[in-house]
Amino acid sequence: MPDPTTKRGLSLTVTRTLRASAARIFDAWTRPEHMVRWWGPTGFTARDVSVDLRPGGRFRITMVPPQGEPFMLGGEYREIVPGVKLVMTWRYDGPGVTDHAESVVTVELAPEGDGTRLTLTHVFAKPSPAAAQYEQGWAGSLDKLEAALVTPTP
Amino acid sequence: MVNYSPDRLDRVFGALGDRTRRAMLQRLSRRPHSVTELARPFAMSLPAASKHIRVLERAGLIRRRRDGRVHRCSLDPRRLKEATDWLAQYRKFWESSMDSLAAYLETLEEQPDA
Repeated sequence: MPDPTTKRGLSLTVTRTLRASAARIFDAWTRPEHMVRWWGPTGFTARDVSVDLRPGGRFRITMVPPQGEPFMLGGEYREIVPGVKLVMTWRYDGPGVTDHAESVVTVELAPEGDGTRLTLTHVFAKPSPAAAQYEQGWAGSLDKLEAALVTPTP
Repeated sequence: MVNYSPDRLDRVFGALGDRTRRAMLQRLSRRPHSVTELARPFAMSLPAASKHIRVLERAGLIRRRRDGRVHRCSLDPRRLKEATDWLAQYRKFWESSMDSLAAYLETLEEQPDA
């Protein structure tokens, strides 16, 4: 069923070709033991991940930015097609800032060469007050980016 | 830090969250148009088109100037830039998250039984 929120609002799309199977990437997005290992931008760490992977089920992730207070990301799964597509609502909940409107994140996977093309779309019907919070966390993480790129993940 | 005015951004999002209004903006990005010219490609009455134009005007996305009996609309790119700067925060978040994901997948590649 088409989601009305995806028809309205501003959206951004990020695509990436990854050297892994679609099944493995889907697991990385949906299984807590994988999610804590990578979720979030470089310099951020994820902890206390809970996932109820079914349409209408919720997920919740505690994010620790390189600077400032931890914050919560969470939402509700709208559509789950293993290895192909994941649609979820998205809400930021941090110190002093809470999204009053959920946005929608869609992750689509398609085979490409010997890898998988990932297309992520984030659609906002309303502006989120959390944008500035992301920026604050970023100020610190950009400094660490270069170092992190040459240090392999344990 | 970029200062986002929530009310102003709300109006910009509301205005941009409509296909007709986005199409109008796209045409205005090439050159100014009269209200009649803007309404023409859409199957809608002039009052309906005017309503869309008023929403764009209230959001500060366009300016309307009276030129004799003709209303000329032109794009004001400042508000649009504010909205795209706002979106850029999320783009950075996701671009870097995809870097993290790619790096993590590489570590799994080295242990095929993972």
